[in-house]
Amino acid sequence: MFDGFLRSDPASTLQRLRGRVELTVKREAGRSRIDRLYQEGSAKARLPRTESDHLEAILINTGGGMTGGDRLHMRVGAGDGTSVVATSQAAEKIYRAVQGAALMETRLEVGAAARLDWLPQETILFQGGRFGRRLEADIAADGTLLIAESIVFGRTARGERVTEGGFADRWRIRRAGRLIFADAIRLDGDIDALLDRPALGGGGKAIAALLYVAADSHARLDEMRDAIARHPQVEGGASAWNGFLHLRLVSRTGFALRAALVDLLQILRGRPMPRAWMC
Amino acid sequence: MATTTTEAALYRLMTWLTPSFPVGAFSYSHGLEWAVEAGDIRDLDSLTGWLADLLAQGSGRNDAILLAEAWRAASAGDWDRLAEACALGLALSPSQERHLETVMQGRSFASAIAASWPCAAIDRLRERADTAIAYPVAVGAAAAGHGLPLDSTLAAYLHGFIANLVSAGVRLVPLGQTDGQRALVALEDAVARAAREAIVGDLDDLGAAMFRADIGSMKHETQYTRLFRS
Repeated sequence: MFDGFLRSDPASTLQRLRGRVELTVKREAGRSRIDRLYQEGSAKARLPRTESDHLEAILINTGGGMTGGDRLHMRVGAGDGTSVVATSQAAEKIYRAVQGAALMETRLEVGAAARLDWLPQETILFQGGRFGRRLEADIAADGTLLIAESIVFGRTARGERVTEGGFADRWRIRRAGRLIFADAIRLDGDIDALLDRPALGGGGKAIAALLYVAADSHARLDEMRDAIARHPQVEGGASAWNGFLHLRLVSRTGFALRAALVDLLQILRGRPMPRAWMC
Repeated sequence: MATTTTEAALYRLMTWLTPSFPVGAFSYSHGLEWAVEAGDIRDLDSLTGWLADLLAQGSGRNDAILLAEAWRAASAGDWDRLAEACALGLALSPSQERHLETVMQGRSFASAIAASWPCAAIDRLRERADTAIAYPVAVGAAAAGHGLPLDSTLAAYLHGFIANLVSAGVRLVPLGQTDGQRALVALEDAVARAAREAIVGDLDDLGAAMFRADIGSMKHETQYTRLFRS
């Protein structure tokens, strides 16, 4: 059953994709610079030069999609006083799993007066795909963290339907050592039929979540609500409490979801999306 | 840990988890008020469908798992583990109003137990969690503190949860009292299933997929006319 999905990591006899990227960033001469970059297996990071004082990292899975048994680990640490945006080169694809689930583990660390924007592009889960995602974040009391994650069940533009698959997502967000936000998503089996149910997706097959932990999070709430309302093909809500802002979006198509997410993120960040998003 | 006779357990659970216990459950709709406004809940079938999903895919199921974890932690006298379950229960709230709903009821429940039905587990929970207590965790701790069995506690908690929402639905749609009873009949199996899953499960089994219900609880914050606080 699906329940064991995230807890177990049985040693597979099959040779599977493994990848690890660990990037830490430090402040030096008034700019955010690489402190340490470790890359292993099929995970790579590219760091294009930017004119601004923030560091942009593009994470790449050279394996070209994931399937059962694959493991990717990403760790990004924004040191004290740094500003970092990390994204992925392309949408991640989760293919039919013969055995086990694909698993992605993300660890984010935000130092004092630092800012980290974690903005991977959408994950597309294909028929038969099984995907587990874990995200752990530790933020200093005055650090800023922005996370936007989205998942699309099937290539919605082609009318594909995921009638068999699995998705489990687990977030744990701590600020100054205290757990402030957690999310646990669990979809198993006929995901298409589940997402047709009114309380789940109401027919929406593309889902996004946005979390913004920042001093100005509550002040941005009305702006976010207004922006959501400008996207009639996307149903969404926004709420702020305990020093963070949480948004949830649902749409029938990955295309409409992405357009809304780009709009919301550009408003929230006050700057264009990382270039990888525009290709 | 003291054990309690079946009659005494029933007496306490019925006292703690009926609408007259001072937690103010009647003032929370868990986002149902928006779902009725939006037309997602409009009759008996759509109400029971929505609530069945809450039990199978949503917060009803998660609450049951958190209650069971709190019950086990308190039964073992593991107060750190109890505090962790409490923090997780609060952190899992998807919106400000759903956070308020669990915190206000958790706080009220814990102080009412401390005042009238004192036990060490509730004292320890209140010491560690201060006033921010997740409702199912408070119930799990109190039940363990009184030696009440986990299965009965889960059944009583989930019944209280769902009966409160049926009552909200009856007022909001509106539906007749007989339809309210029909909803409870239709949801009996779903309540039993959520309780069974919590008994065999643990925190790794937490998980929900109620995206539109969560969005509804966010939209309720700006709903023009409201009877409920969530």
